[in-house]
Amino acid sequence: MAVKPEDIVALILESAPDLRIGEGDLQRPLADLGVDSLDKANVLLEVQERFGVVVPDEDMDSLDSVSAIAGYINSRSGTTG
Amino acid sequence: MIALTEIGSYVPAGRVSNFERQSDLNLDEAFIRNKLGVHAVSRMAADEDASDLGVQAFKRLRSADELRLGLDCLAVCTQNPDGHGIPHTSAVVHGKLALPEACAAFDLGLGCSGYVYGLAVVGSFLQTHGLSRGVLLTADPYSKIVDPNDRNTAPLFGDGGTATVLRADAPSGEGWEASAFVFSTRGAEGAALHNNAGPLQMNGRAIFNFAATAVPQQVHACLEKAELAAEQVDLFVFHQGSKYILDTLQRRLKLNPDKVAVSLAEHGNTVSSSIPLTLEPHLANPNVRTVLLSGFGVGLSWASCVLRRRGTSRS
Repeated sequence: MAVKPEDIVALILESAPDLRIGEGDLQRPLADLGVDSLDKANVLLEVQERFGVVVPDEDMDSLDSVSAIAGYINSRSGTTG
Repeated sequence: MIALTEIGSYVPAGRVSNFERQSDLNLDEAFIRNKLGVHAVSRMAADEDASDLGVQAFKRLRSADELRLGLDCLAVCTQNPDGHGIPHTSAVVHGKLALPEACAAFDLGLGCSGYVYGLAVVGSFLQTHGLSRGVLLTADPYSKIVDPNDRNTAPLFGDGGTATVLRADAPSGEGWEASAFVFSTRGAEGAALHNNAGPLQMNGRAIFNFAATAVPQQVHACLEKAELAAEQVDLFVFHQGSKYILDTLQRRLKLNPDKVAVSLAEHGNTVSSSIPLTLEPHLANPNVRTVLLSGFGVGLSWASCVLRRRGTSRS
């Protein structure tokens, strides 16, 4: 089953519940949403554990929005949104 | 049984404020407060070295005078020894404190897991050889290897020293007993935190992933070995890597936040000194009877144990 951007938002809010991320924010840079490097590391660890998709360090910079992370997971797990 | 009877600590007066270095290190105030949790890092004086951190911590022990006359074992946990490492820092401390010749002195080359290892090593050493009094010093001035312009490490690591007294001759019911030790090593991932080129280099993401996954597993193993439920532990004293690591461990282990001790703000991550520095103020609290310690970092190496206040039993 394809991962939706909303699933990634839920992951982010688990560890950073004070953030406000709406539908219009899904393609904005994570830093603009208040997601810093540590939050991002945490989200990608959760992605690895829940979806079995390992994100190598060299791909980190390209995953700079909620939509980009969801798309990356789907492309690596053979599903499409 | 060997009892932990006292901890002395020394944090040098020098400070570098992270708030004053925000622009240099490209950090914002919210990140410093909420993620690093370190407002300032402690720095030893130019004329101090690892041995001085240990000596000052030792001198702050209530039993310092008695121990100077009759200490059987002195261990120093450090990865940044005096000078270039020869002679070993425990021998330097031995000389500065004028300890008896009949005192074993050796160093332990471990980082953030070193305190838990040290409790096991010194406790076992005393017990195996029929000795009475040992002191475990932690004194690891990472300021010697931190690049002040490295935003990954400079705002995190502080200098400090501690002295922990372990005795076979403590009065019955006094002090704390350590048990349920669990040790782990993942040498293949040691490149995540090293100083092969001189300055300390840290892959923050790798260290975070390691701490967030390996430490909870070991904590569960330690609890199982101690036959304790997490709810029966009064206090969890984790290595003070960063506030974000502590928050992550609290969340992943589903611990009551009030039971997770924090002592980062005024000095930072003091490596092997971070657990005893954090533990010391709680030793006199009668409501704290069972403590879980867990250190993790360089190596990669991690170790956990349980401390139980002697003379108490839990139903």
